[in-house]
Amino acid sequence: MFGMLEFLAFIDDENERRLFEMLYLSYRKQMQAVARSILSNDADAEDAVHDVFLKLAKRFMPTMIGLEDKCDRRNYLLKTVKNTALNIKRDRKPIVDPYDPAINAFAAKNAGIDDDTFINTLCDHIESKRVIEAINNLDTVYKDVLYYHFVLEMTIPQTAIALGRKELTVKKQLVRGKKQLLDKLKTDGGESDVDD
Amino acid sequence: MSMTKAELMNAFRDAACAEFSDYSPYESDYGYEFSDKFERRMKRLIRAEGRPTWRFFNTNPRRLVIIAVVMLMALFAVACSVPEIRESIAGFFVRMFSDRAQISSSNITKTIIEEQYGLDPIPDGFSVYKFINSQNYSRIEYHNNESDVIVLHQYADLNISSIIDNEEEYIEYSIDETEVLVSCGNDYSMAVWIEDGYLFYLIYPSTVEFDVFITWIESVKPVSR
Repeated sequence: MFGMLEFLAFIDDENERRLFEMLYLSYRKQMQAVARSILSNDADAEDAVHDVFLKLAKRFMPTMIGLEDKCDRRNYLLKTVKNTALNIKRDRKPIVDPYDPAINAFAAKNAGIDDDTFINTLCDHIESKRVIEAINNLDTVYKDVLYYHFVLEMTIPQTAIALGRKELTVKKQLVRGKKQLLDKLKTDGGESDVDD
Repeated sequence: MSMTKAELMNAFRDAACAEFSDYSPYESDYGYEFSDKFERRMKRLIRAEGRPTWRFFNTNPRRLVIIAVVMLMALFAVACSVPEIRESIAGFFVRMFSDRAQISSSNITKTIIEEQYGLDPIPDGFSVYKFINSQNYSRIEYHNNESDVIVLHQYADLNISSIIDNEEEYIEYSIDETEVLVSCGNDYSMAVWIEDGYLFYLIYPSTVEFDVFITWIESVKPVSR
């Protein structure tokens, strides 16, 4: 009649609450400023800030705890509130990707270069200065996804929730972002060992 | 010259930082004063962040499970071949099994439905669609023009059914000193709580803002039909 007893886990961490409160007190006004620069009124901007902290409380505190670099914590909060504000402004319609037939066709046919190969290709063959320049020149849509995925080490579903995008959209943007970055390095001049 | 993985990550990090270089990293440089509404919402959220949350882990696929609560715990003790684990959460005792969760509570003191509870005020766009009543169970359904449905279940006495999705995460949330278990997923929102001797279960199988859902919970009170 009764199955195996499953185990029940409680999460009751005062340290986690303190960290959450510290993040709130340390970044709320910066987040409000970022949101307000996108939205037309303070109330909507406050909604965006609250939404980000709500997502953080519900899902992303373990991720935040794992971020050792304070810059990453700030970047996560400001990028997430920026994207939340953009979604509010668009009335929650999906973000339109930069149109590029070649990249769209590539993404449609390929799963794309795997993460390890992508990282190794960048590290092993390219000058750091060119990489930094290419990253800075990436479309913001792809830059955000690459940052969340590779630096914050978020999964595609987590990135989708944080950025307010569909999972399939994030997956495609990851493929396209990697390809666009590698293509930029090939076309920006200089020798390159980057292969397709 | 090649770069290490750490250097590559720093390159992504620096690009991200550059995006917000126009924003001071010091909160004291900002003169903005948040609204009272925002401060209240954040105060509740910070308080809830420190409260216990449940996660039920099992290997079964996600589904909504209707469970029957039996107040005769002696019967369970005889039938079960495993030690009873009873944890008190939000006034409930919960026992977990592979396909369901069982809830019981000594705070469910009503034996019959003496007063019908409902949402008051009714959320904008919604109206009462259906009443279902029995001696110890009541249900009100609210519909809107977009086929959205809000359902409030009210239970008394032994034959209490409660729906616990054993793949969802619940937050123990205080509303006016009443502990409520709240879960807001991508596709639905649910809340379970005990009040005035009844067990209440509110479900909205669609997306709603967390704050809005909390206001619905707060609006549950005796109503006249």
